[in-house]
Amino acid sequence: MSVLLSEQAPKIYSVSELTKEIQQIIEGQFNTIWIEGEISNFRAPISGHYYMSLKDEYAQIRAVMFRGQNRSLAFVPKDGLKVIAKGRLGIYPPRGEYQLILEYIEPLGIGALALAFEQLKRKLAAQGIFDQSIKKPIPFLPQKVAVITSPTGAAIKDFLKVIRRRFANLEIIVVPVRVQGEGATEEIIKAIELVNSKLNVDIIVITRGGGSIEDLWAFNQEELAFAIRRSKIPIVSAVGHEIDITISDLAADLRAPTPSAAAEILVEEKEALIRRLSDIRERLVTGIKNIMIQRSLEINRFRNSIRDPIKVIQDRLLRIDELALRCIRAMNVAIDKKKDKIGSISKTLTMCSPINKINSIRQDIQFKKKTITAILTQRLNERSMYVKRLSNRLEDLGPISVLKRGYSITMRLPEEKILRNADESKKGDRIRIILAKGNLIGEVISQEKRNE
Amino acid sequence: MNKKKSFEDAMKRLEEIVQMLENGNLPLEESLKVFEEGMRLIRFCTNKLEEAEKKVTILIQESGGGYTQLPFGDEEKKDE
Repeated sequence: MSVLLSEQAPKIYSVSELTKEIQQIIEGQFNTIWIEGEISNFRAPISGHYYMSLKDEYAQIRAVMFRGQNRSLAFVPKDGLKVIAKGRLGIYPPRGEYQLILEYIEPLGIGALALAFEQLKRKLAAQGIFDQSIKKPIPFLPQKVAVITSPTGAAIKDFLKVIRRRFANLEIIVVPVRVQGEGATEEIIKAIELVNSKLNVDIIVITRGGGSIEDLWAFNQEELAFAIRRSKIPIVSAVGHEIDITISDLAADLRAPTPSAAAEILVEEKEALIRRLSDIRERLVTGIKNIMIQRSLEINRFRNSIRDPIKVIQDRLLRIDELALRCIRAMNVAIDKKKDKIGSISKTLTMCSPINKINSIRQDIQFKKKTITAILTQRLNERSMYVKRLSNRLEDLGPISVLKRGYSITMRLPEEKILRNADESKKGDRIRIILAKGNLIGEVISQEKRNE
Repeated sequence: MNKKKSFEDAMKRLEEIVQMLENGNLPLEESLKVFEEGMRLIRFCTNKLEEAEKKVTILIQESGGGYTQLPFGDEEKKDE
């Protein structure tokens, strides 16, 4: 049955009419609105207008931002960016489509994941998981490295490219894991534990290439942070691009901004050491060369200052000869001079010889000797005559002259005691009687006393 | 780490030797002696640096639960 045939005919809109009515209602109702959503299908054709969709989990709306407005934006919108926008809803009758006409867009400061990240970061920081003091030192000259990453990802490719370019002698063991999606975190944790228990490596590298915060989400897990801290082997984390920081990066002993940078950290020290060694080697060689040059210069200097010894000796010999000659000459001159002097002195001496004087003195002595002898003889004679006279007188006075006059001396023998008293002897004593000429020996016969 | 200690000792001694030679007031015999020692230490340090093996492997889990290491990197060579 046709609607046209019914008694109460309904209002029949033309398409334009309806569209116009919708336009009035919608444009009236949504004249100025704020909307939050994620940008997708962003296009910026030559016209200079921006075309995009704003979407959320269940719906999307087309949007346009005309050149006049978008010039004042400080950034260029891009897909995936969550924004808050201001605008109005507009109907485009020729196509029967509605779209947002935007005046202003502002990127949404923080998404849900970013917020979750911030919250977890704060929580772990409060537990001291990121403290510098608990970080293990990166080993000196690592020789064996375990790389926990996707075996097919860009990260391992970049990592190995750097290692190969630097000719680094490193043993590298790739430990394959999924790096995004369900279960990725658990695989990474298991890999850390496996390397610790089974592989004897110096260092572990956990790495993944760049991606959205959702892509990197496996590295923003609390359990992973704890597993990294539990590892006895030092861990370098290089997840995402330079600007992306993950919980894994913060918990690791060292963060490398990119997979390539992680490789560079491992080989850098070695290269620096090799450079230092070759520098030292050069300095050693230069040093010893300089010493040799210096010494040979010194030797040359000495050689120049040392004269041929034979020549020196010859010179000396010549000099000695010369000196000897001069000595002899000088001696001869001196001797001649002395001779002359002696000659003249001897002449003088001859002239005033003392012999004459000696002779006269000798005569004088002779004369004096004679005189003295004469005097002495005379004196002696005088003395001897005097002595004779004295002796005669003495004889007169002495016992002999008395005896001559008839006296005698009697001595008692044997003691020859001169007797002066008859009592001095007794009968029978032997006596000697001394006469003027000769002696008598007698014996006392008796004593006669005289009284006078 | 013993390796570290002897390596760093050697580096330290090397610096000393270089300084001694550069000062240039060592007797000639002495300088030849320390020069030789220096060259020996350089050889020692270089050997230490070259000690590691150069290879890349991938750890593969076997069906029995054990692990094995297989060469890794053929793929890269194809790529380059």
